[in-house]
Amino acid sequence: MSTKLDYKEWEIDALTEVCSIGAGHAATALSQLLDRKVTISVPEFAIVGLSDLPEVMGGAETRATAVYVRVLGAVNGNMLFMLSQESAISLAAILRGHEPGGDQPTSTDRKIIKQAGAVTISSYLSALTRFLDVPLIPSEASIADDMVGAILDIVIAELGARADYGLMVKTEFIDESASIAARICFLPDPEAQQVILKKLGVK
Amino acid sequence: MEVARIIVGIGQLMVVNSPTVLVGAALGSCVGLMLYDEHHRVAGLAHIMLPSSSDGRVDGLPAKFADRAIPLMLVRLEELGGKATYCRAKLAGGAQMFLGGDGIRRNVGVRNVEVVKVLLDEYRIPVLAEDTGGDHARTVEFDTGNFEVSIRSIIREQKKI
Repeated sequence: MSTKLDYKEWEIDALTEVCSIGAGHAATALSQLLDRKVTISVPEFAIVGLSDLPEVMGGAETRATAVYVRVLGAVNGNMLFMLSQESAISLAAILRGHEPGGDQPTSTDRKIIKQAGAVTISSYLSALTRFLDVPLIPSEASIADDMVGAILDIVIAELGARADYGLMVKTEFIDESASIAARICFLPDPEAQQVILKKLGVK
Repeated sequence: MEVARIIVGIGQLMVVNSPTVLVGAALGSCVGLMLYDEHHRVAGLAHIMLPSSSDGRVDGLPAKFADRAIPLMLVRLEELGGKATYCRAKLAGGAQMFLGGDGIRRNVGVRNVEVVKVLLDEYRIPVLAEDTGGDHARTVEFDTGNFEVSIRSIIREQKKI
């Protein structure tokens, strides 16, 4: 069978801990960009069957905006910065200094959201790099605004070649006025999970 | 009588011999392959994720790879009384959802469509209709009563193939 399920408690705790450091840095970056307070949830560790991933992430046909970064280096994996449609419109409005308007993000909004997502993800990764002491190199960021299920195909195709399950650490972000709810998901490749755990085990 | 709707998840396939609506929800780079034998009234949908099983391993998702999904689908069709030689195909999906910053990644959607077509050609199964490529999500609903496929997306008008 695929690499799955048999994680020990300390491994889950260690992964959640390291991701909470990453998410903390990401929240700081996002809060500086937005010039307002951003709160994060405790990261949630989950092993998800790939065909269940769309439901876990809000429903296959729900519309969302996502910034995707492929992680390269000693640890390969996938990072997603995801927003509901309303949150995407609010985020772009704040960054552009406008009132939120329209019922969908414009192409300028998408460019700005892509930049914000890239900065947030990079901050997360640079914290992981320092903590794990392995280089994690982000690819150029890309953005999609469409059905959740279709957006996730990129991650599912990366993970799916070698496993039917994915490990995901999900952290929710919310700004002080609760107009932006976002989430960051880290989905390491199956082989990378072992690299991370080995690094954490030594500490 | 209300016709049953069956959602065919990623990497899964379903073949039926009665009027049913087979749904492939939110196809991005994945390909929805509809195969049917109109004469024997057997039809199926596979929700294919990747082109070739040489790219990886198959565990619990039988239709994950095109090269495994198609032969398996033909076996199921024949089990329900269909014949491969009568089969016709329709295709949807194979989009590239993320634009920009894609340089390091192969374009899975395009490759999925290409490989499915090559394989169908090897089995001499004609592709009667398709709605593939582009950069948008599609949900397909395959009515196995009349073998029509209706395709929904957020940015495009609904269409039938």
